[in-house]
Amino acid sequence: MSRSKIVGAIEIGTSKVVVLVAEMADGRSMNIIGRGQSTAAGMKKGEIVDIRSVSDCAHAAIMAAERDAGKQIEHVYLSLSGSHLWGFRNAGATAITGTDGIVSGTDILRAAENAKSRGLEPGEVYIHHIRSGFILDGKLVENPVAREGSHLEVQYWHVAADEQKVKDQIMVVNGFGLDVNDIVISSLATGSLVATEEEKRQGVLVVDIGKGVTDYVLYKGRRVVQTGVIPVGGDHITNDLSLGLRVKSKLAESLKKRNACAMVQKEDRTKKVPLVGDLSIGDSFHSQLTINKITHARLEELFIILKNRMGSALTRQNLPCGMILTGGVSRTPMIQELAEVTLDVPVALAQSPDWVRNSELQEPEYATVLGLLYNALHDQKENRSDDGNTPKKTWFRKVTGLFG
Amino acid sequence: MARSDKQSGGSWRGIQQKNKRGKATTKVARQRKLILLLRSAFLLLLLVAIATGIVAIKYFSSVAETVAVEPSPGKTEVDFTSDGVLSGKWFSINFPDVARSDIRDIDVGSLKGQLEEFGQVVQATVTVSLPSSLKVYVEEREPILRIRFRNAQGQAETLLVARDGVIYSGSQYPQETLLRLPGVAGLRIRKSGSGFEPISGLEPVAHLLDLAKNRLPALYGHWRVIDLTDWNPDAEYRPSLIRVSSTHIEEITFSIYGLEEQVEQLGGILQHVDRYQLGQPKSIDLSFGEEAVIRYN
Repeated sequence: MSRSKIVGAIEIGTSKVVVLVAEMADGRSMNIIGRGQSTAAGMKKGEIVDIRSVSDCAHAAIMAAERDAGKQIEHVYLSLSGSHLWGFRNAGATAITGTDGIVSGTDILRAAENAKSRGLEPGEVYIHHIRSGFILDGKLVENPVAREGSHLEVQYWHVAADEQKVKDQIMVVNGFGLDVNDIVISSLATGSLVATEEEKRQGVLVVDIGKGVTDYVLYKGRRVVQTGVIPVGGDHITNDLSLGLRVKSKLAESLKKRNACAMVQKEDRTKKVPLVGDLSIGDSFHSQLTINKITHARLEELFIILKNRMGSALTRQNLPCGMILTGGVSRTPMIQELAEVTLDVPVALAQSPDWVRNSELQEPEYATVLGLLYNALHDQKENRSDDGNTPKKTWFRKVTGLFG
Repeated sequence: MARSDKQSGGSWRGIQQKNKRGKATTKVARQRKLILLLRSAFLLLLLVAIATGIVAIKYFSSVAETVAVEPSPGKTEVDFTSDGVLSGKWFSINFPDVARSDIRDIDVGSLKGQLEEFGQVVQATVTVSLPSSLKVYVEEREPILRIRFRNAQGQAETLLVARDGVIYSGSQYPQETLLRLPGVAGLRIRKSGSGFEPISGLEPVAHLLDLAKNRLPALYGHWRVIDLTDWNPDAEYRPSLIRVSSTHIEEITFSIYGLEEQVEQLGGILQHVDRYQLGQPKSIDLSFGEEAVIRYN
């Protein structure tokens, strides 16, 4: 019997909480039926610093989304970000045990277990173990099953996080009376949405510059090679402008959104821009050149950090598809040009896939939650919800869900 | 997205998810929970109401079905019984519509009344027994006398007199029973509607007949006419006499007072007459108390 599931995607970001509600029919189709959004308070650099404030904001957004959808959320997919996230590569190896030397599923499982067996520091938990390729007798292979060999190595990219910070995020959702079905780090959620399969195959870096942090994910050969979080975001530009121009943060934020540009241009030298811009008496004027210089410096620094993190992986040869920029800061004019100059790779601004028809949902702010839903759809397709880890729908929720 | 596996040991999935009220529970969440609870309660009430409705519909439909399985009109089975001579045939002749009617259409009270209008019937009991039976039981009057008279059309007609004085035209009595009944003479009867007014104070006459039947059955078998010309039920009227004509004795006169003694005296007289071969008396008058006047031819 065909049965639809009501899935909620929740992103608790530094600047705002975004919730989307979708109805999924047996992993075949997805229909976004509700949306909720609220400004975030109690967040800093993607991490919770005041759980009460965050809960207030998140619950308001979830409530708004449920009301908009007219249905009760049954499954929750939560995005995770913050500088506490870190990743590392760890391979697992095994000798092929079959007498004929043919690789079997058991060999792969054994190698995978070996790769995942690395212990973490106390207070850390794994979020993802992302398989990034097989090496059979020293050669990179797509699928080693049924191939002959003697030594198999499974490459994994592991994502770990601070346990307490993950607990805090889960607690916020639990506080609303919902269980978290899956957690996906923001970079993976965003990357899965904005990068095409061809771009992932050829190699692409997806960078999501948010208010508090910058998440990135590197794809190569259709696999995730690396993920990371840089604790630099739009807030740093705001702070820089606030300090540099000696204005309040709120005004600096407004000025950034209205007038900041990532590159310095000739005409900026003479151009003055109002601080408030509503023609009110006493409004001060600031140099466009100063604003752009400050913005340029911070963004350039961000890209340099990114370049240093990526190392040799970030070259035109390795990444023919270059970099895709998304997130709120990607709206900054000429950021694309600045990234190209700094990183020396082709840079494109993210575009939502064709199936996202709502113009508002095509905005960069929704890339992560849409990516979460995209992942939820894939999870259902792969029937991963039957692995026993998915919290069962309680009778209470079934009963109350009858009224939407 | 590349496929990612989650492991339980050391994975975030090992974190216990609590829905209990804690520091992350907000007013909005509590409101939502309350709304969900109210919805559940409403749903529960709705389900109970629906279930009750279904049960009620089922119950009433089953009752309707019981009525619906009733036989079609005209299939009423009549079970007629009587403590007398009347039979089911008499009932079907006099009430032909009852057997053809739907039992639901039969007015039991009316039927009882119609039955009791028959003089022969003292009391009728009519009981409906579902699905299609009608039980009728009648208590009948016992006739003690018969009256022959000519009606307005000049036709001879026989009426019967019950011991309670009710005059009725009897039905289904065997001819033998009717012939054995003594006739009555000198009795004034009055029409009342389609019937006759009952004769009041007939108890002494009935009592006399009973005494004669029980104590002097041989003599009673020859009683032909009971003459009530000088009989009056009024206690002030004296003498109130009952005259009996039999096959052998032309007239036997009784007073309505002291009937038992008179019958006993009569028995003694007849025994004496028979023993001493005194001949057949023409008349015996027992109305003088201890004395009896006997006439011979």
